[in-house]
Amino acid sequence: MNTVRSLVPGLKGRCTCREDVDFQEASVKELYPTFDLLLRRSMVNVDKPRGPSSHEVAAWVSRLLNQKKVGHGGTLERKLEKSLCERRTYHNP
Amino acid sequence: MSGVLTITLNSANKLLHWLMTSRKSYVGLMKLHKPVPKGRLEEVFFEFESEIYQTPPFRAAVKRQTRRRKVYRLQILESESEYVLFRADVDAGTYVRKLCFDIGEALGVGASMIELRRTSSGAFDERSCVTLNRLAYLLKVEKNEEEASRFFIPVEVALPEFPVLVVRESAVKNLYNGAPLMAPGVVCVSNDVKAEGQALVYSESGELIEVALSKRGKEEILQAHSGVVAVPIRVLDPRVTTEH
Repeated sequence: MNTVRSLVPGLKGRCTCREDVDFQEASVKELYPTFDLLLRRSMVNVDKPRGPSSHEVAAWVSRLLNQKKVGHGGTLERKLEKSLCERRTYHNP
Repeated sequence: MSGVLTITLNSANKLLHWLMTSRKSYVGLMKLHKPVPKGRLEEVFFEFESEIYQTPPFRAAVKRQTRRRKVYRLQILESESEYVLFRADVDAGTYVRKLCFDIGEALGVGASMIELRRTSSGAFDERSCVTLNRLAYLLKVEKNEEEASRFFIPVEVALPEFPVLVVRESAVKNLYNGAPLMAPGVVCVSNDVKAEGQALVYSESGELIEVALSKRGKEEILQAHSGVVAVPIRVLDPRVTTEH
């Protein structure tokens, strides 16, 4: 009998198989035994602070983890430190 | 503008589209340019709790064309003179700043958003978040990778429920090289797999190999003995690099 291991919750109930299959729950540790392996195929949710842009936060995480390919989803705009009006007066006193 | 920000690493970048197309929740603070009676405010908030049309702002990362988005919930948490603290559950790709502006227009007094915090993104809420400080402390000071790894979610766990195909170990190598999935390689099919629909392809050991476009429906796949079942859309990198 074939064994299918999976991290997807409730997969057994959603599937039809071509042969007799024994479903087993896999663990993250067994698929990704080391931290470096985990970093290859994972995501992290960070609590973004108000100052920096989403892009800057992603770059910061990339440097912290020493990973080249880092992306982010759903841009949260940075806080505007000065309103556009104030900025205009600054350039045009 | 703070809160839940999903950061993808390496192979997970390829799945951003599938990770991010879920609903978002926000808590925000809006400032009306003139005070408005509470009843009127509630009325307009209720009106906006529906399908809305939005054009992305001038400085946007996407094409500026009017899009339809759903506001699932729009709730006033507190309001005092011209300040309104609200909660909004919206589709991915809704501009909340724009929503505030439009509410201001509908009220006739004008309004702007002065603070916003994303409280959840799909299945992930603030509890699943890690602050940058904590992450840096864990890795640089405590050097506790074990504890830090709790915050990293592998793609297999992170993706929302989706049609699934499970394939034999013997097919894995070819799939990683970009070959189409052939019928003999399939072990299991989830009940929601449809012809010309997307599906996640997993190996028997549980690793995600690719997002594919299924060419046949569930019943057809189960009965097929040969032929192409699915073609790749996005192929990940192998979990462990094999020596050749």
